[in-house]
Amino acid sequence: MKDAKLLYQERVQLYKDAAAHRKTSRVLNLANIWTWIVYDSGFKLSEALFDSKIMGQAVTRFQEKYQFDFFMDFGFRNPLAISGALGHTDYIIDDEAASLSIKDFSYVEPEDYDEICENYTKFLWTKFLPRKYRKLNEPGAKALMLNASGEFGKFAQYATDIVQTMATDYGVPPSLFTATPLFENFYEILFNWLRGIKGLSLDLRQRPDKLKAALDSVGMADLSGNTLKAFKQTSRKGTDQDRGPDVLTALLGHSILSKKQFEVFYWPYLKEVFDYAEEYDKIVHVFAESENSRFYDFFKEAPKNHVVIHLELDDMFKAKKEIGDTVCLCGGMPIDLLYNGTVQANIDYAKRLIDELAADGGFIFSQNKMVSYASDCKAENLKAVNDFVREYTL
Amino acid sequence: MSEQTLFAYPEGWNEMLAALDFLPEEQREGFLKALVGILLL
Amino acid sequence: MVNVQLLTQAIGELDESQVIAVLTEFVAATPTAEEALNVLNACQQGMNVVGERYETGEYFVGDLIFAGELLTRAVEMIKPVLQGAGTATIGKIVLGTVQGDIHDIGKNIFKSLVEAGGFKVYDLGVDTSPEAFVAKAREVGPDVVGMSGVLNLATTSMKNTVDALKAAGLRDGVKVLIGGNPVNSEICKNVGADACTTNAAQGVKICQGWVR
Repeated sequence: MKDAKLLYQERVQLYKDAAAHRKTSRVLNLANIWTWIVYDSGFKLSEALFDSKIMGQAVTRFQEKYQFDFFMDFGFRNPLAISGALGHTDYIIDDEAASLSIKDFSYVEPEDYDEICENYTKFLWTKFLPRKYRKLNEPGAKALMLNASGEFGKFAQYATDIVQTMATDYGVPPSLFTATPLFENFYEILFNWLRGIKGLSLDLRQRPDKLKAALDSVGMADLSGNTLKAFKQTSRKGTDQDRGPDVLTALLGHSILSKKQFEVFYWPYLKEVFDYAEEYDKIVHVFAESENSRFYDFFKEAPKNHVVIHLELDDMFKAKKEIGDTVCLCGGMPIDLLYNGTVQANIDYAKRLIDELAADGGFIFSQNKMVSYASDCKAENLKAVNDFVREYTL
Repeated sequence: MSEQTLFAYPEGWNEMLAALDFLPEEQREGFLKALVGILLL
Repeated sequence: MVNVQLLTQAIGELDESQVIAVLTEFVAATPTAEEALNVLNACQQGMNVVGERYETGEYFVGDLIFAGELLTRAVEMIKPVLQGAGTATIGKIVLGTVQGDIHDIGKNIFKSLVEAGGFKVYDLGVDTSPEAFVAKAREVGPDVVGMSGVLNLATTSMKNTVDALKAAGLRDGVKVLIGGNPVNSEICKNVGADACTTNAAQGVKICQGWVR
């Protein structure tokens, strides 16, 4: 295997080249692989999610086997030890299926929108936390919060260690999730963590003005509430040469919006990160779940050579024709095929993706959907595809 | 202050900040905001 | 006298305040059960409009979810008038999200629509085992078994459920409808279902066609 330092530099450069639509000798392979990493390693999900040593071993074992260039996740996505310290039990872990599910929820009531606008931190502290973590309503809450702080400290340490290990030992740049600055439309926080799909669907119709006011008030921000606006103040022009993308943004909740609703509740905020990328000569990686073709008119507004978009359910060949000149496409390898197909069928499809999407640059290979459950992927197919993609020169 | 009011603002928030005495004072607010952020997940 | 056209239009436009205003006035006028059935039918017509607007892309999933809630509310308002009307059920459906999957929004949208369409629904909830589907089918003798799922693994569970119905000798007596993100005609064939859909309103039409 190549020297890790050289590999790291090669991978960063390949990412920059892909984003800038420069043709490269080979195509990058991004691991859109999440809890399946644990499943494939032979560890149990219920162990790895609560033991960072096991999670770390799963991730490094996985890299030794599959040799990806970039990762979406180094085992960060579900920091259950932290919420577990507060007695959280809404997650359902199935070790056999390697699945992790969450029960439906809503921690925002319609009347909370005004308070969110007034003081978002206050809302989270006084309402969200006691609603989600019912044990915090009992005596001993401070001790629980201190326990959670301890677990958070351990998590932060794991994050530092695994990013370091993956870089030093395997030449893998920082993961896109958690190790890359993430800014999201507050709509996503509402959709995924605070209000839920049903609640938000009602809000879009019953109180659109309140919803919009909250989106404007909290703004494009990270999970801690730090805004992109503030982040800009400390940004220097030019893309960071030590990482792939400079910032990440994730589109998940947009999947329930019509084009008209997207224009009002989503586009202004996505545009903010596009404008940032253009103004500061940065690269933004957009993770866009679901099928996105009704939003292509907006994606065409992205600043050319500054945006990578990972599409999940889209027809990649159609997307290449429509938006491929403007944005670098990412994704494409169907997990249906990775699970159900033969090795040869998988390799043939991977070859087709690269031949048709990377011929003039502007493509990063990855799995289309997040590979999470045992039945999302077969190991021998993933290995065969990865070996092929690594060796295939353009 | 009784524990029942830990989730009052700003009193309870400030009480929690004071309890994070394993951190330098200037880092505590950022840490607590980040902790609350990760507790969203 | 309720303006059924206005009601259909209000549902179609997802105009909640108009729907509630019309139904409040309707219920206050102590209507007959037959009049209530006409009103329910107007609501169904409104849901057809919603379905059409979804097909054209004017409405999307968030609107369908809202429509489902609006319909549920409308039906709740009309129910007291309908009770004791001897409303004929046109068919029975055993419905559930399959084993290993806990997504239920699509299933619930379909349930609201198909209940409004005259079916009695036995909702088994989420993560429903093949055995649970078989047990309920044996108990109630449905016309249709409806299975919903969003995850990739759902299609395997759907096949397992159809196989379980076969093994129990129940398959020939029911129609099987599968719905959700991953389904298509290829999967429909592999699973052994009679029909598939990714559109709740279309699913209702399929079920209605089967029982006529």
